[in-house]
Amino acid sequence: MNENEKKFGQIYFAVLGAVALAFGAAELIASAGEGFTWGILDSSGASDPMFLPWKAIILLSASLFYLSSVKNFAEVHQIAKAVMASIMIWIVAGMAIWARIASSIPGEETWFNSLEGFLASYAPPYCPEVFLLPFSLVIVYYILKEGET
Amino acid sequence: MKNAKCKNQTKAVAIVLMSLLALSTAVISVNAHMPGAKAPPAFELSPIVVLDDGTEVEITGTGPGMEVETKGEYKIILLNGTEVTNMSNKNLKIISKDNTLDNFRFDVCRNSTGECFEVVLKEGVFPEDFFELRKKVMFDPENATSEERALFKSEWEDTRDKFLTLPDWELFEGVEEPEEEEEPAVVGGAIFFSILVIGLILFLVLVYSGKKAR
Amino acid sequence: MKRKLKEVVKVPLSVDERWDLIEKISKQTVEFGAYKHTLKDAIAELTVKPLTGIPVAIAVIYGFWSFFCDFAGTLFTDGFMVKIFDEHWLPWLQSFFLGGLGNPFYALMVDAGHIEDGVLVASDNCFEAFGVLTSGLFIVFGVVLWAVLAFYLIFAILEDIGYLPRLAVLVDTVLHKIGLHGYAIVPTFLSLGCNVPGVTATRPLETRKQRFMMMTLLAIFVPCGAQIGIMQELVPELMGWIFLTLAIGYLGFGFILNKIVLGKSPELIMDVPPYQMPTLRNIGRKLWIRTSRFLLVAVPFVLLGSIIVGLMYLTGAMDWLAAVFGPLLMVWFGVPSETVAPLIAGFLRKDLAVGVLGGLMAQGIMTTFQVFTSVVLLCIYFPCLATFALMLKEENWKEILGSFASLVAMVFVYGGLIHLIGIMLGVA
Repeated sequence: MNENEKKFGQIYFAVLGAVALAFGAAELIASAGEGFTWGILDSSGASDPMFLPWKAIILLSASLFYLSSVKNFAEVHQIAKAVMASIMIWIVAGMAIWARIASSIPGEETWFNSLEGFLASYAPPYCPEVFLLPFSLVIVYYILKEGET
Repeated sequence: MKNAKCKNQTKAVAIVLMSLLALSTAVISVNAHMPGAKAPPAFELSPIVVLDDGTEVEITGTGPGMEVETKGEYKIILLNGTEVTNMSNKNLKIISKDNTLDNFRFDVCRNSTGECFEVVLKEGVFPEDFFELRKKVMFDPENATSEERALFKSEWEDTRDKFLTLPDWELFEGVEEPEEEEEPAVVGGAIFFSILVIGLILFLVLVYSGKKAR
Repeated sequence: MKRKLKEVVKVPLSVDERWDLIEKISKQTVEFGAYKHTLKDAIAELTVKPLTGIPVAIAVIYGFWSFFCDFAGTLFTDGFMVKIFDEHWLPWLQSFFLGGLGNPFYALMVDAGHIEDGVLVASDNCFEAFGVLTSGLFIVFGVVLWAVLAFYLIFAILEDIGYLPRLAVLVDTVLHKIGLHGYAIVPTFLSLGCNVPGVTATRPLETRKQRFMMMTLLAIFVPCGAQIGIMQELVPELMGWIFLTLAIGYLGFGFILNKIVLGKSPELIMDVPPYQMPTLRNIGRKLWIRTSRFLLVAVPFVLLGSIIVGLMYLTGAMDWLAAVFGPLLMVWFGVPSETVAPLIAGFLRKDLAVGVLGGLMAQGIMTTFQVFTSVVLLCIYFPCLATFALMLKEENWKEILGSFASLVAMVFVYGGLIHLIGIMLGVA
């Protein structure tokens, strides 16, 4: 990993960690009340109130992993922290997407959903983890880079 | 709600309901009150539906000829509290001479329990000078000018059309506007689904190329 | 070196002394070179250290549970199985099966019906029909199969990735407090699918004490996929509390058992393999072996349980038992008289009993707290028939008696305690 990649990684994961921290804190606050839906961002926990604080704890942990990985980022143990944080986000976001897939296939009255109903199942709003998912994928580059060395 | 609208243009009324059914369907022809008025717009009269502890109860009528097992009652009570017993058109016209907006209050009651709720017209349904003009044109036609007659005719037609065409929640206080069924957000869903599919393909390519490289 | 070994072997060594000796020997015999940690090693370290490992474990368990709910509940049970069983299978049986409503054989096999305004009416769903071919098959193939499949799929993935042994290391310290070690997480997780393979997985434990403790804890405090599936379907809002209560019971009762049961709890060396990509073939084979074992061993017992419960209702035995045990259950556990029959039926079919309790709550007969108490009691008070049969095979008669005695004591102490807490909180 060259100096530029290290610098980029430091700044990138510091920002991502801060955003994840904000999302996690918002989810934790939301889990104490009714939750919130803000534009295409949804943290209402309507499907299961038990999941919202659980998700919030995971997001907060992931954010702390990201933030603690920033110092001396090129070191393998530090990258491992960012990798673990990303994996935690993949688990939570993956399950949010999986929940949509599972509910999109069967229809209300019919065996299978209509095409319109199927596509509508994937419509916004989305939970914060889903927004973090694409940004967390940047870690794949560093994993591949680490594999080369 | 439309049944009530066209019938109750006289005194303050109380619609007394039996436990199941109510209201007369003696629908007064919509342009009977105003000779020379233009034809009413296309409209559809639907029964009054009352939400009774979560259950929708349809009030279908009280009048003669109704195929109902339990007929409701329809009462007109004057502002001074006396009940109108002579329900002939002639008498109703006489007692409606001093009508104002206060006369358009409807009480829907359940006879068996005595539970009632009040339905009141929204402000602005009747034009401000409507009742004054009405009194002049209909009960003192000699002193009404032709402009006043024309203005009243126009206001009458507009008001009638409002009652016939506007939804209930725009006419009455306390009537909830039904939530519109949202169009399923197919486009947003399709975009997200496409991203998912592309992401999955990229992932598979990455895994496959990784395996090949090894 | 040989001389030194001869010297120490003369005296029996404690566990710590043995480890010290191993360290000394390895220092003198093994050459240590410089080893650069790879990313895999670093991740492996992170998942084992408590400070970082616990948040990861929380995320993994979230994924486990979330996948389970959507796979078994949303997709298969609610999405397809309810439609197949309620809209097609039940009406078909109701119209073609010999007898009809009120006929004892029809009631046993298809639909016992229920009384509405003094009239016996047919059931409109397989949950309430209580027949072997309706409720029995629906529970097995409509609910439990998918729950078990979901559990074993995730379990196999975690095992093959190499996470499970690390989870075992992570919980090792906690489980040592109750005389078990980290490996106990394997039979516990397996039991969340079905208690039968869970009990079988206690075989690697070295001493009879450990095996007895593990089996007793599994039978009492670990609900199987059948129960979890139905609880999730009927009382999803109580799941967190139910699991918390069971976890407290698991650890608390384990601690007590460790103190009172004689025997040793020796160390167990577990292989912790490096993280690796799981292969489809391996996952598929594991899934097939475990699920087919559930189908072959547990399912016949589930159906047998259905028949026995049905016969008990038909012959009036259930009413008699309810009359005998009713007052005790009502006073001690604070549950209404209507729950007595399902609690007794739960000896044979816990899943169906949870279903009946859900129905009672829907009718407003039971408060949420009473449902909570009853569901926890159902979980802890007797293993299902299949597990019981396997325990008979795996334990000797003394141990069986011991398990049974612990179970009775546990039910009364724990159930009474929940009732007491409820009274103190003003909810019971």
